Amino acid sequence: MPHADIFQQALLSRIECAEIDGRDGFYFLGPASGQYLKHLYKTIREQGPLRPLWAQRCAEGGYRVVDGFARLGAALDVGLKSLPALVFPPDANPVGLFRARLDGRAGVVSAVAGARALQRIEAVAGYDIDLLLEFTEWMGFSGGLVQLERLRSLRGLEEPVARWCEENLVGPAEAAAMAAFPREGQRGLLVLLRAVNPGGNLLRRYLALIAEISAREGILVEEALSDRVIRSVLTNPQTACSAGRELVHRRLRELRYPETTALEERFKLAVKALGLPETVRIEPPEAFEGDRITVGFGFGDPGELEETAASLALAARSDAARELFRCLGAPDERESGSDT
Amino acid sequence: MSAPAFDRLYVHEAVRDHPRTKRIVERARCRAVEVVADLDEAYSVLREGSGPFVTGKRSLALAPWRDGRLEACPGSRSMRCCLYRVLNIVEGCPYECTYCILQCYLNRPAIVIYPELEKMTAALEADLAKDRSYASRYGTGELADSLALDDLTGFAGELVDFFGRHPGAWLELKTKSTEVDGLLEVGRVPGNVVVAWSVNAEEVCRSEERGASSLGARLAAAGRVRDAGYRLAFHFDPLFRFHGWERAYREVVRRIYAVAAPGDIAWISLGCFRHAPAMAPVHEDRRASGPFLAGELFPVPPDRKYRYPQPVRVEMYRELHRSIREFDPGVYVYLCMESAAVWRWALDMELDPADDAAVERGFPAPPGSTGTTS
Repeated sequence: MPHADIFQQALLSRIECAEIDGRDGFYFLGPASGQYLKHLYKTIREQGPLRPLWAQRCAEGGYRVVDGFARLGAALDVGLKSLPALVFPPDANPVGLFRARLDGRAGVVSAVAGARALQRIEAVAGYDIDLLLEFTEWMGFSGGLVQLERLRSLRGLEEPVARWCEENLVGPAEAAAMAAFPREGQRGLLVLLRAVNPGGNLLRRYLALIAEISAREGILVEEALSDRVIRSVLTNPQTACSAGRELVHRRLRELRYPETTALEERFKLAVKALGLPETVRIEPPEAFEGDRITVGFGFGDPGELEETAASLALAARSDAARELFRCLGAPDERESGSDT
Repeated sequence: MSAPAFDRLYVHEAVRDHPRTKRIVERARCRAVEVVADLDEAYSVLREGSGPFVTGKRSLALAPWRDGRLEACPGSRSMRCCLYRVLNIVEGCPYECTYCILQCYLNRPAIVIYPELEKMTAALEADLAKDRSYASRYGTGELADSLALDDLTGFAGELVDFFGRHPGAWLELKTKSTEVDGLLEVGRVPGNVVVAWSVNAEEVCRSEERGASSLGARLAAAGRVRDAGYRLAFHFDPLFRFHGWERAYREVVRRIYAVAAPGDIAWISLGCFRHAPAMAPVHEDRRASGPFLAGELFPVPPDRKYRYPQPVRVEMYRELHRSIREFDPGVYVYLCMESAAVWRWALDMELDPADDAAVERGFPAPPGSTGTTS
């Protein structure tokens, strides 16, 4: 119970709001949700503060907030001059206070706020890996060292990107992926994210695709994002809002897998060139693996079957049919000069 | 290049007095040597360190023999296999190739050496006595680099001596190292021993094969063993698709044949980069670090391993095969873990679907072969 004693030093009293340094964010864990703020304003206006602040007296005078940033803001907004507060002395252990502040908050701290809190803990306690791992867990980020390192890497986030991550409750893995991008890349990404606002899995896919395009092509992230099709989505707010997410995802996939995209296109063209009725479906093997192409069609009577079979027989003798197999890797007999 | 220094060496008490153990302990430049009754306990201590991939490169364990060290290459479902027979006397490798499959096969945080080679050779004697319709090929390069730690173990020279007495089968030592001194000390070089180098485009060697020798150094070492009378082999595996791959791999072929004449090379294998699904998270973490792991790979049926699309692989094999043929019309070129369709379209070779040993049968017979395997 290393941190329990901090309450023995605390005194419940009433403190003047004017003496509280509202800018001191050492114990800050991110902004409260809109819903909570609404509730807070209502209760403070109607019944006054129902819970005391936690505040720490500063050695040089005044107070810093430990717990109750939103309460303080709401109290000031409704014009309260003083607040009940559990006051801790200046020499109270900041790590212990932070630990007590985090109690019950696992899972409600955003990745960005958690990363900043860790940075402040590290500033006062040094790089104590066990302590930092404990804090990571208390904030609700399970995953041990991997998660800790991800959170530490968020220091590389550009401020506007960090804000976007915080507003959109982006998880540590995705935020860390963004932090790995260079500054200009993060800015380019932010333009995209603001326009199409992908969430959850789609955001994860976007980030992986962008990083891989950049690695594969040896280009900067911002260069990958300056693609003509992506830009055209971004410059048209209506498209961006309606189909933007999917269009950008599709385009990123095309840029990530250009050869496969070209292969799929080539197969489609070959199928078209067969000139078969639209009811006949021709599919390559899964992932273009193997040497079997699937043909499927339905028929309503023997006559229709005969007709389709005749079109298939005709198509089978065409170069387009051989092209289907060339799409799978069969050699081009025209190149080798042999007669097929 | 001598073997890397290791942080720790664990010796199982069952092999502490074995002469090879003493030799390895003496040669290993190890900061801490500990005799233990249970290697698993030692592994759990190591696991508390910086993870098996990192720690596993800096720790050695000398373990007692266990049955099953001689096995067939596990192959891959529905893919044609060369039936390489694997001698696992070392498990793990000091090199840190980013694509290495051992990252998911081996989860011990140490390189494990089995010093009781005499038990392996006894198992080999029994295996060689089996009636097979082809000459078997044995090798130590499946779960380890055959030569990377040879200045510690001295296994290569002992195996060469053993196979000198069994001329009906091949021994193939596969490496990315230049540790050939042990091989050069062998008095009479048997014709059935092949020293093989895993080769890759210069840029891949530099970027993805950390700790391994440069391509130039590998080829220089190949020249030395060739001069000593060994046959050579080369494995283009894994082949990566990247901008300029055609030129880069053609250059490797050219450099090989600048060192070796066509008759010096027993066989060449080609295998495109692929990985098990379990490796996907490892590669995901590393993919953004460069172009090689960020290729267009998909889980492919029937084994769901990640591979380049088949037409891409066929094109690469065809191109490389053509380059090799320009220098060497006769050398046996085979594909590692590919389907019959890929063999047909890439190499213009039809494999009998009913013959499991069709790939193996394409290998040249060892010079001492008399139709039996030993």
